[in-house]
Amino acid sequence: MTRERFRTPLAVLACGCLILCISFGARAGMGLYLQPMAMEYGWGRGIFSLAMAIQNLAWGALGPFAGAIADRYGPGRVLAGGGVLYALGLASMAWVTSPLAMHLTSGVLIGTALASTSFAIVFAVIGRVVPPERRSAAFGIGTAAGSFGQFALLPVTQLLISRYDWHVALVGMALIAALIVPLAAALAGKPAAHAAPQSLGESLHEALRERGFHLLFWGYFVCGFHIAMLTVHLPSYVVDNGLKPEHGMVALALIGLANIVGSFTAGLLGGRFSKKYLLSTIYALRAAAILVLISFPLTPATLYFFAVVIGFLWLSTVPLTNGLVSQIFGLRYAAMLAGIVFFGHQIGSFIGVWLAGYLYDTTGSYVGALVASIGLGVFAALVNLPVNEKPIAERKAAAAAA
Amino acid sequence: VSPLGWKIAGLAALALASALAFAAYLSPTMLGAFADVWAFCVGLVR
Repeated sequence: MTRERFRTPLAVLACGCLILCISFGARAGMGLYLQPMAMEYGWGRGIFSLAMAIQNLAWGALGPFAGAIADRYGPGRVLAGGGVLYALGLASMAWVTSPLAMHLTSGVLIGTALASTSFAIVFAVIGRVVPPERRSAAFGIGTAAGSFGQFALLPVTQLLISRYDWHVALVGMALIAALIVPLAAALAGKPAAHAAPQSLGESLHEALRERGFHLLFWGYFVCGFHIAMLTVHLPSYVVDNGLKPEHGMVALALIGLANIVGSFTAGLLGGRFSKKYLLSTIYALRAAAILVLISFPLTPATLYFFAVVIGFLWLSTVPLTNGLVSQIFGLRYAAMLAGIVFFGHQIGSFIGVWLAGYLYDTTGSYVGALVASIGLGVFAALVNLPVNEKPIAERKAAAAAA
Repeated sequence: VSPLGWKIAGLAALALASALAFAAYLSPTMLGAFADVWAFCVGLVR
């Protein structure tokens, strides 16, 4: 069997899902190392937090470059390189003893690895092997796989830390991350050059002139703002409102579970309905859910209801946003363009976490941050509406024919 | 005008200014300028 025959759409989808599962799963357990590392080295939590902030920014800022390299030299190489960096970053994190080394390994190395092994790169390959009418559903399956990875690898990390120690857990996760390298073989191969008679620079020039590209960027900014803010601050909000910390943990678990269903469903719906209207609905529903959260007294029942609703809307924007980028701009430079839009997501994540903390410190409450989240949800619902979903290639052909 | 009134007026003015700035940013002229600055930077690198 030749290498090309081995790369069937099903094999590409399965291996892509496994890569996303590992990439997101290994990252989801990062917070579990905070306490044992801080205790062993006597570090304040700020050192670990800064490493995570660097990781998130590197993930976002390097995403477009990883995408551009994937579009030019093939995504398999980028994914394999990302797998090596991921394993190196996790393994070397087990032996760091200084804050600088921590920032370089956990921050820069793993951030670069995430930029090379996440949605934009994997979806660019899946998009090329799956027929256009099934592309959105395939993106939904991929997003659900990443969500499942966060859910499944978290207890594995916790088990390794509690049974052995955090050093062993990091080496174990490094070995799992190294599996990305052989899996990347299924996603190897360059996109067909004849698919777009454009250079990478011309493609970006065209995208920057397109209003929809900017609107998707800012919509994704709001997605990052909501998700990062709620992930970090929801447990504290729960305790501030008189519930137990366990309620916050259950709420986060419910979000994770509903997220798997939500991202898969969004992908399926994206294949049948207009993606921009679905995105607009998701952001409007997020704003409504947060409004309900702050409008009623917080009880375990209202919290869990909120968690299921917001979890369903959690990463459901991912298959739709990536699907729209591929649909409008084509697949030739999809990894780079989706990487740029994802940078907006990461900027939003950074600002969401910081702003909620700042507003809490200055006002003594999360209400200001939650009201801002509602306003941004409405903003994102509106900015997706004017996006022109028609492929640029079709628009050009129509203009040439006219 | 009460302090709360000033706050509401200030927030409304901020929201209006932001909306106008965002609309200006999305105008074809500005988007074209974005793309041209990018092309100029690529030209410098080359």
